[in-house]
Amino acid sequence: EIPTRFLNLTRNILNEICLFLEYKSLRQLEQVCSKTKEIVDYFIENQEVNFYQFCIGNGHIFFFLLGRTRNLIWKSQLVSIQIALNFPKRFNENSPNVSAVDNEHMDSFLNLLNPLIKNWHFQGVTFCDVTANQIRVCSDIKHSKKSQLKLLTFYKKVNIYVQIVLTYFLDFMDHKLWCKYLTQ
Amino acid sequence: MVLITLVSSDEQNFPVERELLKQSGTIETLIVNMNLDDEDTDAAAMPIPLPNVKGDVLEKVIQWMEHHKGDPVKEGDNEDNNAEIVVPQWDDDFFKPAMYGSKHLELTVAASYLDIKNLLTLSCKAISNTFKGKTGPQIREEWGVPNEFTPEEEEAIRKENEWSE
Repeated sequence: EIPTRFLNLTRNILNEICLFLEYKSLRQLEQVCSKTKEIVDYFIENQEVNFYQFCIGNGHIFFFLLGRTRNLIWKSQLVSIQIALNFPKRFNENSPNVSAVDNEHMDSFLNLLNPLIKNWHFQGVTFCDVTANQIRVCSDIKHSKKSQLKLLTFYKKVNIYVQIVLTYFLDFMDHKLWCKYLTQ
Repeated sequence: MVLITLVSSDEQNFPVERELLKQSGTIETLIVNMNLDDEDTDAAAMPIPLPNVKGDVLEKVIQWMEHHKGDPVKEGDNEDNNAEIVVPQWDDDFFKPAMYGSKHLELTVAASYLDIKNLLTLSCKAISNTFKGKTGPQIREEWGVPNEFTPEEEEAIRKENEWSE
């Protein structure tokens, strides 16, 4: 028996397997070997994409919410938003480019999240009425500090993308504090 | 009880209850199109060759279908609830002994070929469960995947994925 045969499964089966994995596991799978990297890259690149756009400062930010409704993003409690960003001065090829959305822009950023979570349910709570402030307060409660969204940039093909991982947002979504806050 | 005979690639015959075969989209289509379930015709006695499925794998598929007899048959893609799918204990026990070997993978391929959606879903879910919470090197070790990356490449990939850790 060749235990590595899962690498030779057909594309539709590999995609089916990937559909069950949250983003973090996909990224770990990507690190196994070049074939798994190809499998995951193909899977991610072929996800249906929801497209949203907003502005911060002078730059237009386009962000893409990866994933089908099946499980990738909200239900796996990890959001990856890819941003094609026209901020050339802020991009430094030699560093991971970790920066943050400052508080000034946080409200507008979080407000833009609302349409994304409009019909999402979590433990019986419908997120249709969530405001940016509620989101931030919840996050602050949990982390005892101001919310920050890390922006990490990397090259992908010819475009510059920025990946925003809403770790704080997602953590609290998975946290009882959220329901507790809503009932206060 | 109507029995239909399936023939595996290594020419083993498996008489299977007609009702069970409704779980397989591939076989069901064949049966309907060729009137194989019409007891008044010669067609009913015609065995169905499955050239892509070996006997030992087909035996497992039938065992799985027997256990899941009467379950609702999944139709099309279910867009909503992949995240909530849990592999039932019986299926977990069924899959586990061969999980890291070729047998489970052959079963998964057969489920895909025979279009048994529930089996394919649970089987894939069971495979995905082996990846969850594991690092790349851990997955590599469990599945016996040789490390083909140089330390430099490994570090570069790790850095690229650092944000998700």
